Amino acid sequence: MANILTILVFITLYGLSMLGGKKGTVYFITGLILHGGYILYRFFHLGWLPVTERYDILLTMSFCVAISFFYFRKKVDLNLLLETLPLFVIILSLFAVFQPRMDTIDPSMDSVWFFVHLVFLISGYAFFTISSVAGIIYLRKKSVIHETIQYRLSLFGWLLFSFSLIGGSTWFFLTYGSYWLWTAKELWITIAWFYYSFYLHSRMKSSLSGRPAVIIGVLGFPIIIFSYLGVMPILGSPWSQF
Amino acid sequence: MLKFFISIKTYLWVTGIGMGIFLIGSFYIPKNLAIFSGINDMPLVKWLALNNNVLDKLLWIYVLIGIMLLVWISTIICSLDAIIKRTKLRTLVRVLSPQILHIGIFLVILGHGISALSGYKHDVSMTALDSYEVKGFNMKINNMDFFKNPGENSTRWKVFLEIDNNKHTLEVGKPAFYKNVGFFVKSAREKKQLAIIGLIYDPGVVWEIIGAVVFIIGAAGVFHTKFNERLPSGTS
Repeated sequence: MANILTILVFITLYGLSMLGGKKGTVYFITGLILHGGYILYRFFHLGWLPVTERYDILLTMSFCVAISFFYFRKKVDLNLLLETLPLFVIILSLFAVFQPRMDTIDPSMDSVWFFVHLVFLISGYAFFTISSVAGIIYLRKKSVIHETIQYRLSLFGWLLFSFSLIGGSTWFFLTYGSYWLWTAKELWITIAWFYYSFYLHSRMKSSLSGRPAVIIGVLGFPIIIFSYLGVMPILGSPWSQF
Repeated sequence: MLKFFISIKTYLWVTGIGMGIFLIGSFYIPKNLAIFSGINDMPLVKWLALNNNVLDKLLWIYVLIGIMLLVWISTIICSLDAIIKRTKLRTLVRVLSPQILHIGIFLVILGHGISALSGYKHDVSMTALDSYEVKGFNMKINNMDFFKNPGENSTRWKVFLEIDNNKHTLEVGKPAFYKNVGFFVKSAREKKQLAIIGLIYDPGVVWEIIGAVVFIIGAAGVFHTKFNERLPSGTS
């Protein structure tokens, strides 16, 4: 219960930060400190990197997204940033609230490759999320710099996501003898990978560059969320913990 | 023909259609588990041949193979074209990095293709101290250890396996490799002193590894280039 309350407190602080201005910044940073502190607590409580279950993965992911505040602060109008960024942090944190907490680890997860997979997965998804924030800011402000930021963050996210697939495939092969399976989960991961590849290339096509490509990039966020959270409950997949 | 493969429009159409088929598959597989239950137990082409009595239900996989083939060809032609036409000493890293990355993807898809065409996956249920001859290997489990680490939700095992008189220790996530074949413990039972050993021969894996390494080299170049590029200024 105390865990859920702590999450709800920093979610509330992120929510209050959307009021904007200096007060908003104070709320946001206070939420961020509490958020970071909670992840640190989970690390000591578990005794390993808190990335082995969805609950922790989503909280770490939302924390990485929240940290991008310091990157955006000098590039985006503060009020516009506080209207957009906290929303994504709240969405990811709220998803975490609804995940069961197990506090155990499967022996198969005790592998460097597994942690490589998850660390890159979290950072890749965080970059995709932040790129969507940049895309929304572009759609509202029409500044070319934000379109470029969205592109670069998506590119970095796509590379990190690819690294995570390399790590994940290696881990899966060493554990189960296959590096790819025909399951709904794997097919959706492939869709997410191709989707961002599609977006990165679409920007090179003159008829799609600018607003259409930005919208394609922003729509990547619901796709990664579905590929991560929606496939198992809606389509059914054997991988439920992470 | 060359123009068709190096066009961005072609790539966008092909990946767009590919994503659509993956989407169909993601909904179709869970609803037809009776058909697809064995798809992960053998190379894809062999599985497709065994299931040609339900061809209408597998058409999407054939179309997907065609689409992946187009992506594969387009990736390599596009990269070679860029390397030949655009490489200059001054812009070497900037131009070459994404192409190296593309070649990495090309090799990974090649690995998938080889895995789909060849190799085998074979499971054998073995009891301790009994000898088995499987796929030309003489195998015997000499001993098995079972234990549970704190914080873990299930039992671990250590299987001491002899293959052609060579001793190997198999653990969770730590298979043994002998004569290009992987030996994996799929599951083990302490009471029955029984283990299911999976023999996996997958010639595509080596291409996957080479592809992954090439991809990482290309990605490092892309990171380097983009980190050093200045952001534009002004509004559109």
